[in-house]
Amino acid sequence: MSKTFGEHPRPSIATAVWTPTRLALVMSALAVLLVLAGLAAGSEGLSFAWQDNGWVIGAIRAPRTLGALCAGGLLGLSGAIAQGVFRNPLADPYLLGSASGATLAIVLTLAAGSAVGVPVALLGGDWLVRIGLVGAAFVGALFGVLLTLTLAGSTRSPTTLLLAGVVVGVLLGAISNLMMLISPEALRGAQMFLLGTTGFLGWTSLAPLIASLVVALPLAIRFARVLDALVLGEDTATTLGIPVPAIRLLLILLIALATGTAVAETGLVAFVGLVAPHIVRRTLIVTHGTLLALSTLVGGVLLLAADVLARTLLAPQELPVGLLTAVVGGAYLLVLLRRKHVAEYSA
Amino acid sequence: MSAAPCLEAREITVRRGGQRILDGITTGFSPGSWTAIVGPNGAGKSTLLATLAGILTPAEGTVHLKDRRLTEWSLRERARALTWLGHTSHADGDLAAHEIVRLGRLPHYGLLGTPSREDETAAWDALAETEATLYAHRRLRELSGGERQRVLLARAFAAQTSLLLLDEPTVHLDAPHQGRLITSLKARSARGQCVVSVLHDLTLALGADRVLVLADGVIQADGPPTERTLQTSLIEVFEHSFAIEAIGSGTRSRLVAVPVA
Repeated sequence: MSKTFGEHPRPSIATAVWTPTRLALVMSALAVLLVLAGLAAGSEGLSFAWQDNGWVIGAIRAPRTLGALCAGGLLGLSGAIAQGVFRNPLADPYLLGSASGATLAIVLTLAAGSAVGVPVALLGGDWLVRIGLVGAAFVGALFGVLLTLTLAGSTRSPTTLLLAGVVVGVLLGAISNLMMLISPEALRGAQMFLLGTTGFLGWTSLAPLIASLVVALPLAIRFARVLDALVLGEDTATTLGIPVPAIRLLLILLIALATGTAVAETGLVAFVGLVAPHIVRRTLIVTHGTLLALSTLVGGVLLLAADVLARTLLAPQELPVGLLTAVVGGAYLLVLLRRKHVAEYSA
Repeated sequence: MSAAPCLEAREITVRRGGQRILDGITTGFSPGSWTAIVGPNGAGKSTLLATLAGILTPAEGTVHLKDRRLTEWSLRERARALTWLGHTSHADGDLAAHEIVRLGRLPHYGLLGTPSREDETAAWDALAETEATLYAHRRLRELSGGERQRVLLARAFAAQTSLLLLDEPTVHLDAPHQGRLITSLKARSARGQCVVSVLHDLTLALGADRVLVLADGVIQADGPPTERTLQTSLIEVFEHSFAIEAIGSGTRSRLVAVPVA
């Protein structure tokens, strides 16, 4: 039937404007520009008089800028993993109760701190406090995910898992709100924090963010082929020789690690994790290995861009970055849904 | 069945929701043969195939792959020995078609390995065999049902395992591609592969070396399609909705299922 075995014309994709390398280069260039803008953005707008602002840049703007890049990267990465594991393009790193678990843990830590008379500072603070907060957030995220997994029981259906995640999210969110009602003074800062903000990022935030990225990204990429295989369904993936349940658990733990760290440092920043993988997939046809790496990069660029905008749009006023990403990300999704709708009916 | 079976079901029973989907099935499949499993809806055909592939574990009985129980094989060893192609409805995604086919080679190069030249050649040969080369760089999601099925078939062919279990491989295919798939399956069994396929099109099934008639989780008949008793049982299972007639003569003669209006 085929005439030329072994010598088929392999259609090239020469028409494609974007290649993974090009997207990575463009995004890296954007990242560098945004870092410069982030260092220059202050309460009087952009200022490139570096010497005059030496201390502010070194102590405040630099860690905040780099931290936003890392936190965004973690969100983009966990969004890409979540969308692959649950085979759902609308999956989000905050699903499965990881974010609500992390939030609850932080709220509890703050409340406990004020109850024993040691108010926990969200901004700056010493290393021990920071590490304690990140640890609490990670444990909380893990607790949320495990609770979701337990609720979903032995069923292997991603939909059941997602539903269980929604239930856990609502439950833990309610408990967090209750805590805030009970001890409002201790949690005045927390409210701002829960809206999603890059304002609390200091040098002490960078270590956990970078550490979590260094652990999660290579591990996730190493097992990215499982996400490729899951496109064919769990059964087929199993017949391809993949121990699906074990690797899926590992990937869910990585989602918890990445989300937990990001939430501990920046609160609940909406949509970055959802949108970053979308941008990559719309631009390129890639396997999950490349998708994970590029989503991390795009996520970092998105959050940093949002941070720079939040600092400069209404300077000297500052917007919570989470509000900005929610508005922009929401608008992007709306456009996407409309286009998809149109495309489906005109096809 | 001259050669010793490479895949065997021994008294397997599968239950779902208190119902017996398969009820004590015993059968074997030999290298170099193409078996078509036919039967009415809900007969247990897909369940049988999935149990043979090790996706479902039987409540009773065992499946034997070559000299060992299927459960004694590691997942990867098993993947190198048999390929299963299931229903296609949920294969959807942004992966390029050729990457899907490359996944068929995964058992050979391993989860953490890199594909070799041999893997590459096998993938592109398979794409050529199902005539899917032209759209190999497009997203799976953007392909039509038939195009997608040809990519999934190429994925199954690329694995080059000695056992090939195909659940309704002709689904969504147009007539020429159905014909070419059947030619492909015959060539594969002639080269020594053991091919087992669930088929809905009875005329296609009557072209197989062996037809296994399944109804209510029990084997009703089993043998070459030319066998009189098998044909009688087949017609009975399908409530006399068709007749079997031979067309052509000599070596070109073949059996067709003609619907009875």
